[in-house]
Amino acid sequence: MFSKLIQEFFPRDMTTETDWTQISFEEGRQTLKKWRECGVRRSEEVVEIWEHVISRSSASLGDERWAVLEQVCIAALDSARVDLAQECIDQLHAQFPKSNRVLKLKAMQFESTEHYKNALEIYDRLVEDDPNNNSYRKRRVAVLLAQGKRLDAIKAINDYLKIFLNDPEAWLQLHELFLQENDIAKAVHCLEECVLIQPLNSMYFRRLGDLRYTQGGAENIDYARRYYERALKINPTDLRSQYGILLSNNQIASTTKNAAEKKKAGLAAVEAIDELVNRYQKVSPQNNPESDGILNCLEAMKVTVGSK
Amino acid sequence: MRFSFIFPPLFQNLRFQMKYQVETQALPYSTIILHCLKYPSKGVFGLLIGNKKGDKVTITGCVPLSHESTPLAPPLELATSLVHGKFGASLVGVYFSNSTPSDTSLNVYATRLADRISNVTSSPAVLVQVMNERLVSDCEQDRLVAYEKDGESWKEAKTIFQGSNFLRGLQAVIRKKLYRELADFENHLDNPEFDFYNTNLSNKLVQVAEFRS
Repeated sequence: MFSKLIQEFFPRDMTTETDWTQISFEEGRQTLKKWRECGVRRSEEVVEIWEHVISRSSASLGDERWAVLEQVCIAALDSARVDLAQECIDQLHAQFPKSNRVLKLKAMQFESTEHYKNALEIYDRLVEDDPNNNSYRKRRVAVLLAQGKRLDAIKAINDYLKIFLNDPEAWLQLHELFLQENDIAKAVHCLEECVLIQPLNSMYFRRLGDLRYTQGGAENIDYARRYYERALKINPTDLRSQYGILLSNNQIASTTKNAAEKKKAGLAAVEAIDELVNRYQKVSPQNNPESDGILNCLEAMKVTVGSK
Repeated sequence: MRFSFIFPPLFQNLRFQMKYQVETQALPYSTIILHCLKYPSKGVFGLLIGNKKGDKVTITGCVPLSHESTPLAPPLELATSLVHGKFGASLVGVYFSNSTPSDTSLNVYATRLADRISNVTSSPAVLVQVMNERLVSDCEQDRLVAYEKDGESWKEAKTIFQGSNFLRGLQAVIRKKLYRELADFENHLDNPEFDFYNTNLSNKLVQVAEFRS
């Protein structure tokens, strides 16, 4: 879900891995800040940056230190570093002895050791204490998910959405749960809510296209094509939408009985292939030695699509 | 397996009249494990490359596809047709892992994809599941379980595990954090510079782990 964000933040050569243990203090600080703000889940790397770079002179972070400690604590819990998480919680607790935010970290610590009951007790208390803070309610859903209680989680998110209707993250989670339940129609509904909340996010349109295409049937494929077109308009470099346009048009061209429609869809599919070919021609064969093979596949596809 | 205590030992062989024996070579085995390690909080999917000789299926390679538990049709269709175009009948099956550690159920999205591959290659596909609870680094057991289609349902097939030969190498690979360099088809769609066949990574794996093929 965050891949687009990552791309925005790391536009340079993404295929080479950074060695996070060797970066400078300032670079480490900036990186942690970026990840904190976009909410990307790179727990192992966060722990690495903290241990090898930042922790040596964490005092020079100033007030940012507490936010970093919170971030590192969650990352440590996520990568099973119990010792480090405890260390962070101790420091935060000493600074903010009565903080609910620190209490939440303790509850998450219970979650990580599968003491779900203890965690839920804390979350219930926190929700009671601060009903407007949605993060505690979200943790309660997370506990259900960790236990694999899918139907309970669906119910809990539905309750949550009655209060916080405008939370795309919750709708996305719900859509995924419905997909696991094999209920694509309901998953579509969740995505439509996301579109209403953020009408300029191409990912939602593309995902709707994917869902409709998966559902199948002439009407849905037509919907899918339109969603992909919309997504591509918002984000013209989106490879997935481009592929989506190719797939949906190809499907229409091979199933429709209307000759004009068939021809139009065939042409659109060929056009999509041309765009894809353009894109792949710019790929460096050093990074991706298989790009030539994909190009050949696309050219072959063009011949079959064109002959329809 | 759950019912084994009901049956006297005599019947045990009868219950498991398996057609296939599945052997996963060091390189695909490691790649599958690395795919799981790259996305510890998610389920993963991928395609298996190999050959069938009689009742023995040897997995010689794999193509990581996605890191979500419910992959939708468009990327799967694309990847399948690209991989089938490249490998033809060597496309033998599907691997997957569930997102939570204790969940050992068969994912319907995986079985559906396996059925699809059986259709595409007109030969029965095998399904390989990663047992997440065995992913701990010092585990000496086979982390993979294979399934074959039996009528309408999937049942466990026999696996041949020669892990003692390569687990040490795999551990070296994990220590080097090479899983961060792995790319699946979803990564490729985010940025086509990523090679989902993992050509460069495979070379590194062979070098670091000294796998003998």
